[in-house]
Amino acid sequence: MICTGCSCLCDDVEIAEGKILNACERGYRHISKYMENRAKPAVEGKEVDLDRAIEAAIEMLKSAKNPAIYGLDTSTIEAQKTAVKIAKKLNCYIDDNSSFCLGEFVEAILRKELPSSTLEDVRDKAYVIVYWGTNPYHSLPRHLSRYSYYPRGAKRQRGYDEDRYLVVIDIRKTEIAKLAKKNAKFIKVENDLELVDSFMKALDGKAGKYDVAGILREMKKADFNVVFGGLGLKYGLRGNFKAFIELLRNINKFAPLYFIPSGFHANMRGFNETLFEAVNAVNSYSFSSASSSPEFAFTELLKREKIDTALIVGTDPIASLPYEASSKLPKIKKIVVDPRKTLTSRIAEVVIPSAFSGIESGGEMVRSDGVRIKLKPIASSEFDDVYVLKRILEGL
Amino acid sequence: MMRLTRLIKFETRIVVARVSEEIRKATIYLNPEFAKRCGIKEGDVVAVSRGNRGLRFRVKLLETAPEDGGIIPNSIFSNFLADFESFKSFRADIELSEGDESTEEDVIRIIMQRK
Repeated sequence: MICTGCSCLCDDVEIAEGKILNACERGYRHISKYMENRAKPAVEGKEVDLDRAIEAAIEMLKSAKNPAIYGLDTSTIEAQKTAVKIAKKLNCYIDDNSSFCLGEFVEAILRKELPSSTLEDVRDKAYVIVYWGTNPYHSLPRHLSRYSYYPRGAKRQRGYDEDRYLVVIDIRKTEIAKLAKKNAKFIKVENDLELVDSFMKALDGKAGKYDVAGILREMKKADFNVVFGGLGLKYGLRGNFKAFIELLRNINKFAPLYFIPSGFHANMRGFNETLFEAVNAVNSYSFSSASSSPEFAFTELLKREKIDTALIVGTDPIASLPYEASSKLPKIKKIVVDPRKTLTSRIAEVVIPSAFSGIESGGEMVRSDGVRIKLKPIASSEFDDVYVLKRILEGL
Repeated sequence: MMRLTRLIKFETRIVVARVSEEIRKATIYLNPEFAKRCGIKEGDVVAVSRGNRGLRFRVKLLETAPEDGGIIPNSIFSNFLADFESFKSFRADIELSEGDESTEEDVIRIIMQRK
């Protein structure tokens, strides 16, 4: 099966004699506990049948003045496409977690501003491997063993301590920073923009705050190097993505360096690509304005009290958003579509249960590097995100 | 006997990160050296406050926590204290506290009171 526990979408997980084989701790928990804490259809806190919950959602969306659709990062491409159709029909906002996660990086890749590659190419060819503001030890537990540092690749046959050069950049000494011993470097960064500046100066042969000239020398030795960037990098750049894009462009003038976003929900990139194909934007889109803007991010819409109803699919905003946004959720009507009971479903006006994509429901997802993966579910469900969203679309 | 450190508030750096453990209650992972300096032990309950928001956390010790503070796993607890400018890292005050750690219900109750 394909594990949908994170954006690695590992394709070698097997179920044999009731045992889950090859999964990491995160994947194991995702698969083994899928039957626990399941959502039940409800309207205003009272349990109803599925049809009644869907009808209530349709009525709520029909009567909404300013609705938004939010989430969808654990849904399949098929469900995401249906949600985009609903947003178009309602002439409303649509957004996912990437607007405060790694959406800017994915957008830069899709617009060809950042050179990117696949995880298989990383495994086979990469020499310098940079983890910048990400700790896959917890977020993507098999990343290093399957795709980057540990495997012997087609052009990297001599093992990680000779044929890879690991760079870890973080504000603390994480578990993977501890690996940075031989043929490796750990940079404890206080200010990511100063580190970007240090790299730029080193390219000109000047010294900056951080000693990075050695890393550039190592990159020059190879024909394939990669940066995995996470949320620490995003927030460390303080909105100055152009400086980072410029840095990668300059390094690429003398050493090939690719960028792959690291650490998000199973199909966040799928949402970005689905919306990009539909409207040339990766998130924070308003069909009413026919444009994308940071003002149309779900968090901003909440903060500025611009919406009155939200269709929330496969995400838990009361738990995952900062207080300035989550505290506005009680003021709007919420329709939650989710396989599990979530904290948001506790305060939602309508709850519609769904199926776990990849476990009970098939379809397609997009891995963090842009590779499309067809899911191979191990169970079945009468209803999933596609079923629920299509019913809503038809009802509208 | 009352611990003297119960009277002192320490400024700390909080990093918001994912941990492998499944967390349902408010937990903070403090750097062992930092905790020692603050007179805080594993299992203690501490109040973490930022501006006019605060929660109580059960303390665990973790070597990979930042030297001048701790990690709060990405959760309703961390996000209650965070804002968008400091989503992954912020400074907060920490002090020993009485009682149990905060629960998800506690946070939801506070959020619902704002309606």
